[in-house]
Amino acid sequence: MNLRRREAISLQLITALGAAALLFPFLWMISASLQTLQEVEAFPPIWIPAEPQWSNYVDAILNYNIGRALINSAVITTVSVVGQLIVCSLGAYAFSRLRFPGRDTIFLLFLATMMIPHYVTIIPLYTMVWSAGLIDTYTALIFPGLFSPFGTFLLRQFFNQIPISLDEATLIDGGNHWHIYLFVIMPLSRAGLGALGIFSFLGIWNTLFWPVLVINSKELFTLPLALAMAQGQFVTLIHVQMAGSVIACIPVIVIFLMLQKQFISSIALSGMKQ
Amino acid sequence: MSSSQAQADLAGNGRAGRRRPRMSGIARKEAIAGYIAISPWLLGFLIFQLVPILAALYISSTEWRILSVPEFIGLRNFDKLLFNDDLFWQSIKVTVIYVIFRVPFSAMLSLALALLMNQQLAGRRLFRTIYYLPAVIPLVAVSMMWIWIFNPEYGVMNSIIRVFGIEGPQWIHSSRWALPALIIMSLWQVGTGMVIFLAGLQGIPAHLYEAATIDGANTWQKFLSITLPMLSPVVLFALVMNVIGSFQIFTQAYIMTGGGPGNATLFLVLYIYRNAFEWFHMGYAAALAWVLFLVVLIISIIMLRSSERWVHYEGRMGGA
Repeated sequence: MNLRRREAISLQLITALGAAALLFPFLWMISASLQTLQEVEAFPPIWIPAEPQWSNYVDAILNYNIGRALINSAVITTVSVVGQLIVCSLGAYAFSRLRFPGRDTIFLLFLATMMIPHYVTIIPLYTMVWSAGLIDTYTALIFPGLFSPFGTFLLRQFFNQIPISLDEATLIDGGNHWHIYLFVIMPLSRAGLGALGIFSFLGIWNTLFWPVLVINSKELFTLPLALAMAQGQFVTLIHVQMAGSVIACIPVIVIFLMLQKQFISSIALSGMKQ
Repeated sequence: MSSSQAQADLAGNGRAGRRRPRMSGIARKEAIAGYIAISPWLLGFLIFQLVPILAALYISSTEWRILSVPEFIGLRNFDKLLFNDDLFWQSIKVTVIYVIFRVPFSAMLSLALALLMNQQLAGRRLFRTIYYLPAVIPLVAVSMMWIWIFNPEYGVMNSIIRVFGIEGPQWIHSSRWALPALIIMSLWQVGTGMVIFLAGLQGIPAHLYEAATIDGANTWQKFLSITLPMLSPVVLFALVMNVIGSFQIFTQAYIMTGGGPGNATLFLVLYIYRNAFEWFHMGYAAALAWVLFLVVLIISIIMLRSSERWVHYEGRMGGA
């Protein structure tokens, strides 16, 4: 009994130490974001600033255009996630439920191309956006994100598990195929839609590669892009940069803490990241 | 996804096979609904997936500076990158080293964390949240944070090392330590793997452990002969996904090192980016992208093939 107790206590201790180690960089960032430049560069490092410098956050918002970037990111992410859920669920519904000539050919073609990664298609995509004159527009940021091969596949798998007798019952009751989509398939696929929503939210909110390519003007910067440009500036103001990073983390952390259960189950569900 | 699986998938949805040669009014209605429902998706698929893939194939066989007309040069781009481009081989080397260290270490760490989280611990939910948190925050912010952590003079890494009376390395400013620094940093985001493993652990039936306890097995024996085999399909899945993801590392290098110092962190995707969007060698960049895809594809196939020896599928008969 004594041995078991000791084991339990040491496991608890290891877990707590690991958690502290993982939180450490976070706390280090938050602490630096509230210090003066002198404090940041002091040795030994200062953990608690003499007086919290909230003005660093104001500076980050003004100098690095973080406020505007926050709005841009929010708009682009919301439109993309909602759009992706609509486009992918309609496509998945057609694949899973509706019979029409050519469907299986399209699906095979889709499966064959699903594995081709983003970095292969990004060069032609960029040239398309460029020759269409869409560089530096919201459109360039939003449109390619509306379509997700992975999302369509995930939802189709979900829809296939819903019994077809429910469709038939709706038809017998005088409903049409859009009633089935709206009142049978969608409500019964909340878990799948939630998982896809979370994936695309994280992917679009956090991505840097595509915005770096298609956005030039400050007014259209997304949050990751605004931060990346702050990092690239000649004068490095670490405390202000850390404030900017904290601001970029806050929305994701808040949403994560609110929807924690869905985050965890969506990862466990499909095990896929970005 | 293998083609046989795809066929099984289609066959499983057997209603398609019962298609009639002539459509009744009901079937026509269904087909019209089908075309309407699929059309936004189909448009996206054509514009953002199919056409770009075909275009990428063509572009990779051309010499193309974005402003000029593409000139067809056959396989010369591939010839150049294989036999005449030291930077390509440097980027392969750097990327492969990153993958070789990152994937096993993060798998072991996330497995260990999942095993911990599977115990009866006080505050388990809180710990799970903390462990998973680093995996959701933006990579750009993570990179900024770690630039500061790795700062040779003021960073917390070297401050800790200094406690032991040693002067720490220059980390991301040193061609020798930049790559290890990025590997260390990548281990901070082990939360995703932990969640996947945890879900796998919770799917292992308790009666197996009970039976083993009755047979007098100790913890270690139970781990080796129950936990690992039962978890092996999840481990395979996590390893393959992690390899695919790790080969695509870009943001960290773009923000933290710019591929340097001395190309020490010139990962393949960063090299593709440079060729395409800084030097405007579109054709060459497309060829590089296809090579990266092939490398990842071959490694994934090898992993899946070799897995038949070590992955245990419950429900499939052993032996023979």
